[in-house]
Amino acid sequence: MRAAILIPVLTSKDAVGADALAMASILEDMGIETRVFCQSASGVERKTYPANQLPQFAGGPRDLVIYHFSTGWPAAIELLGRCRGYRIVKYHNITPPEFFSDISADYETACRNGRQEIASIATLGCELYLGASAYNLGELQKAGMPADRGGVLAPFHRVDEMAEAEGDVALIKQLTDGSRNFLMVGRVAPNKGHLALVDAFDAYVRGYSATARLIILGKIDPRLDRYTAAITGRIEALDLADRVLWIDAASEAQLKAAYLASHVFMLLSEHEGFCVPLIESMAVGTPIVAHASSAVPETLGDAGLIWEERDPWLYAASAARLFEDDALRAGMLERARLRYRQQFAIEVLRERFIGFLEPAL
Amino acid sequence: MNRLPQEKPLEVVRNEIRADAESARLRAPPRPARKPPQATSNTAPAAATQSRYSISELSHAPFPGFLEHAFQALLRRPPDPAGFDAQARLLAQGRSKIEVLGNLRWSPEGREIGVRVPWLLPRYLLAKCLRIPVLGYLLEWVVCLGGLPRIVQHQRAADIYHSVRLQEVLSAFRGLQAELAAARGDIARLDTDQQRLGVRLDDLNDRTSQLQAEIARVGADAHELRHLVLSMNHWLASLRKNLSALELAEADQARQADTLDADIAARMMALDTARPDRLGGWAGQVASLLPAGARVLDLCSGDDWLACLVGNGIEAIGIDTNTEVGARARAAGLSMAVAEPSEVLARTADRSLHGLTALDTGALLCEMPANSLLVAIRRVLLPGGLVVLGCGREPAGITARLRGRADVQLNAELIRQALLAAGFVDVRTLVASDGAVCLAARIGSLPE
Repeated sequence: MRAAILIPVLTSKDAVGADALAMASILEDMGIETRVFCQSASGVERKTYPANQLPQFAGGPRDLVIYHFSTGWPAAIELLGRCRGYRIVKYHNITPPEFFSDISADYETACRNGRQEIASIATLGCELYLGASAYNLGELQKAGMPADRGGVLAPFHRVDEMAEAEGDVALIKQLTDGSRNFLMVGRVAPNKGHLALVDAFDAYVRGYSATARLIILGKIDPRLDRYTAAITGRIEALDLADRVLWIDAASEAQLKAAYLASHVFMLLSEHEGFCVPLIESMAVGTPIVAHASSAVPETLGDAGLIWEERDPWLYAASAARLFEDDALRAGMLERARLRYRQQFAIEVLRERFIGFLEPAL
Repeated sequence: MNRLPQEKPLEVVRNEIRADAESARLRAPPRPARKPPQATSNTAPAAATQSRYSISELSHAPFPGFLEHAFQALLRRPPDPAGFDAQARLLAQGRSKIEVLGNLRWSPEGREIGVRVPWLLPRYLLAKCLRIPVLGYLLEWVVCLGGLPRIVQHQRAADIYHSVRLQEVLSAFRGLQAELAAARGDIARLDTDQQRLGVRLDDLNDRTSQLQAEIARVGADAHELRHLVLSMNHWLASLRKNLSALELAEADQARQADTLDADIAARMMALDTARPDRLGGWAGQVASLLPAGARVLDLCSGDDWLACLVGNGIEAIGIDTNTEVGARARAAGLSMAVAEPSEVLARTADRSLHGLTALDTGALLCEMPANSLLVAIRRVLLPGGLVVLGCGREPAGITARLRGRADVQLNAELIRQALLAAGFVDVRTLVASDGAVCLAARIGSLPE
């Protein structure tokens, strides 16, 4: 038996790439010869193979193919159609193109193409469809996936590596100056709700007259510079420029330092297929306040304060309450740690993944 | 350790947060006038350094290396999934690499970086013109027709190039065949090794099976042992329960015997009508020989004697072996403990008493030898302390005599001589109104 991981573009730092690489490692640990096939790879030590070579390697009836579906890629449908073995589609979700209107035509096209492929993938007849969340799986079911072929498997992540990494001491020192630190982790993209986040932060500064800092940690994409400019414009219009710290392309040490030194992780994202930073916060022990959109409620569970409304004052008041109410904060953090251990720890995900593989082994 | 206060129910907390949000909204100061957005910001990514590439440098690599190299050269970053997909789709539709390079170079991001690629702009514009419907098609015809001699020249060069490459491929193929033969030999050797390893693995499996059987046997023994330990525990618990029941029965019997003895003693004392006067007389004489408030220990003389001592201003504490006698004395407000006299004497501190009385000396001597008794009395008395020893049959010792331990007729002279021999001085006889006597002596130094 051989196993192939198929992914359009492999990078080690994004959530999809980390998930794909972790699955490859687990399959190899199980003694299965495994290769990763992609169009392009960057920042990855592992050897990768051109996607068109996949059928020669793992196209047989006893082989296993896992396709990580996160963007439009017609070649993948054609490749999966040529494989005769056990085929798994791991769906990480695709951002609706409307978010990118008037911001990036390339992104809008890529996302539209990707979402148009959902129905083709869902009705391809693969043996198993895994959603990173029940929300993702629901989209596949709506598109025609047979209900009895679906399962939910949260993405493998690099939380343990982050926890073991040394934090950036200089950054921790810079951030522990008495200010209340609000943290947002995620690439700077229009579905992530940065504008609403800035409004909520502004409400806290104005309503609670407190010294506070907003840390926006995530990759700034030059192709989304209109969105980035809109955020900076909002920050400057609200006279918050000297209270906002941007950390672009953060290292693991900086990420850990930011989580450790922050008093609240605030997420006002409008679309998430899973949201790995939520479980990073749970594991490290940063209290969470979030907007209940897409897959966020099922990832967060009872481990944070979550609101349907988008009223910025509600988020500001939630942060203020968490800062002051020791019992609430301690209860939240305990539930977060428990949820991480029981639902999202690597050992748990590994067990579930192997369970899903059983019919193919 | 500080304990956190109890966490409130979440719905209560949410309602309080809603109320607080409204309150914060009302109390917030009005927003200051907005500043116009400024061009400078700490958010801007670092500018890439300027560089220069030729078209051939950028386009020589085949797909997908071509796209990765183009992104790195023109945009200073690896391709993102969306960008890569967009340009890969163009190539798949038959667009030229020139058009892809132009798309990247003259994208907003590429313009900002501004990498120089000489002659790319006219060729990019030409490529774009070729996409104009009808006109572009005709233009492409003209371009291709005009370039026909160059295409033929390229074709000839390509023939030569491919011939050379074919020779190289054939040569490489032969080399691979040789390596394949060698690899087959290696595989055959590996097969042999594998078979040998298989045999060893079988041996290991056998040994593992034996060890597992041994472990199972030890496990069964441990299970049996555990069963035995549990049985033993059960047996010990039953034994402890039975012993407790026996001890309770014995204590009950002892209590009944003490009650009977105490009743007999009380009856005997009731018959002895002269006893109150006798004891009152002795107590008055003893009190006259002791300082006011003197501490005196009495050994088994009875609660009426103790009451007489207390009535004469003496701080008296009594000892008796009968629990019922002790209980009755305590009920009458006297200090009396139930214990063996020898044990009480052994635990009493040196030189701590002004006096010691024992009217039933005979019963006492049945419990401990005279020399031990006298040495103990000397130890516990203060210098000049007084000892009073009875010389008749006092009713308080009746219970002991009922048990056959103290039916002794004491000789007063014998006791006097014993006291003198033990270093007591000033031995005097205290005579009661009925003629009964007891001896009193003070502590002195032992004879040389």
